Amino acid sequence: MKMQARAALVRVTELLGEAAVRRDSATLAMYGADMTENAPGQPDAVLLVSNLEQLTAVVGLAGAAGIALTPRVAGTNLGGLTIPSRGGWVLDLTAMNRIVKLDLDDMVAVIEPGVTFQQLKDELDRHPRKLTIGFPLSPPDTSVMANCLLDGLGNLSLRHGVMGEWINGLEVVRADGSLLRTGSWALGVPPFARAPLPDLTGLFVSMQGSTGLVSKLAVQLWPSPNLRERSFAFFADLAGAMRAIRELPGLDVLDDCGALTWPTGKMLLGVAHPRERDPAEPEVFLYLDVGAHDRELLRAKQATLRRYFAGLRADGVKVEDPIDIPTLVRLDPRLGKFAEFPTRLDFLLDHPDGGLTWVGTYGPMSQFRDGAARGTALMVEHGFAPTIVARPMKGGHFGVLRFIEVFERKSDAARAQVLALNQKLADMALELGFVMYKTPGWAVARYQRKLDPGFKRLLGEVTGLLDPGGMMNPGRWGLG
Amino acid sequence: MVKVRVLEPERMSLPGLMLQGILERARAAPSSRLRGEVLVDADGAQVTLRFSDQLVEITRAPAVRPVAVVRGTLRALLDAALGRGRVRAWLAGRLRVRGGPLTLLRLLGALRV
Repeated sequence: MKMQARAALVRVTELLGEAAVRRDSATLAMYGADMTENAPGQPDAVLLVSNLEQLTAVVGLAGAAGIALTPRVAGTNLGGLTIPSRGGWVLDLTAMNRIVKLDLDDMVAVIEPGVTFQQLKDELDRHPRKLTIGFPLSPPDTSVMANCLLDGLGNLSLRHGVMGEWINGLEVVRADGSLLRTGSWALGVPPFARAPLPDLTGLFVSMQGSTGLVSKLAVQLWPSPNLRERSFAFFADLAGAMRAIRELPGLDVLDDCGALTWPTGKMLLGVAHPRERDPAEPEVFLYLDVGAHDRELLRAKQATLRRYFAGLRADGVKVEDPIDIPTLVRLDPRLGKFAEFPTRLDFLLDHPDGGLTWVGTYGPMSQFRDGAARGTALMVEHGFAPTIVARPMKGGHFGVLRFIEVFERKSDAARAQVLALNQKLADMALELGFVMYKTPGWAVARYQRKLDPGFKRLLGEVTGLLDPGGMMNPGRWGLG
Repeated sequence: MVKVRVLEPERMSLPGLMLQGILERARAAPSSRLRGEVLVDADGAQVTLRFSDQLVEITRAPAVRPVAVVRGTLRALLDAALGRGRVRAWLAGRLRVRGGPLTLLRLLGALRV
């Protein structure tokens, strides 16, 4: 370790206290890796940061000493984004978990990086005005901020798009340790929107921490309907299900909708390694979520759905009317995993093989059928059960198509195999117009050849301006 | 307490896995007099239930000489397990059963949550 780095570590230990600076090999190994196929890194130290003052001081010290910084909360993203690719310090922001402000009238929450989906839900549930945030399929203890900043999605994304769009404003610690605020917040007024000031928020969204460390997020909340019915419909084949998720947003009756292929359903029912599909069994389970503020509206929406499904059957699609989740739970409680959000999909997260990864993409709904079919073929060819999740987003303007693999994480051969498959899936998806979100480094490398030269140049200039020392989560987007 | 075991779970179909859940949660344990193989066909996906003393095995291996056969849509079978519209489904041809009346009575009891 260089002299400057040693001095910075001494100084940061004085600042945070010895208990908050971890350098033991077990901790470094834990923070250097995740559950994906991405190669582990080797941080020099893990710092447990508790407040904004500490964070700005740490960033200032690291900047002066040229130490790379990797921010992290739960570390459960599937892009390897919290693996410190160039060593340095991993900043664990879990303890920065204050809900700074909950403005129920203006439907906005101001939160710190460590605030989790469960924590925010619990807080929102305490108030008489029923508001909610969209919940991803990641575990309840993951960071709301991380999912927003990484353009993730949630169970309200069919209506409201990616969670990056829900950001009203940010407070950011820049590479030199200074602070800035974006959105209407920049004028010292409440963060009600990003408009109408120049939208600097975008400089920090999907940048994976390479332009600054966000210390506060103002995020939109949404009214929570009084009544809700969640159900599953079983489709005999992929083509019918893909048609439905393309058409259903147009009915404007759903809050959420998602297709899960047969391996997901079987894992949900306790099969660790589903290997074979009976050609006569359903290929896809379609999850449907209908919300309404009164019973009359709920009934009207359900009637619209029934008519739609009857129309599908009349067209020869093999599907029956959806079955509500409470009914399915009577048959098997394990089917209750989608009854409430946030939820923990333990059959994926706690899989005995330990490895979990995906090619998660956003792309045009018109290409879903081809994408799912070609992805299925590739996964089968590589010996994986075709575990695919597809959801329409933003009223059907685009959608998410994910190819998920569980694998034996400790095996180098399995990791290499899964990486080879993922690269093929990502290439196939890009050919059809699908782009990976929470984009892992290996995918960025593949995108470099195709990226518009002007985009690449400006991206380099912007990050050079905001992070001249190349210390902010270096290596992301091929930078630093 | 009757044990329910899925043979080769990695090959088991969704109807078979759901039958496991139903059998484990059935209101009444299968009668000890319910023995032998039962063929269940859900939309063409066939599974065999093997009833023996204190054990039900679920397999995709074909039933050799089934003591009963239940055929229907997956939805009709699930509705039947919930005690909903069995007669209507039977009249509409969405659920068909074959076997001795006593066997069928015992079987339907074992498949009712």
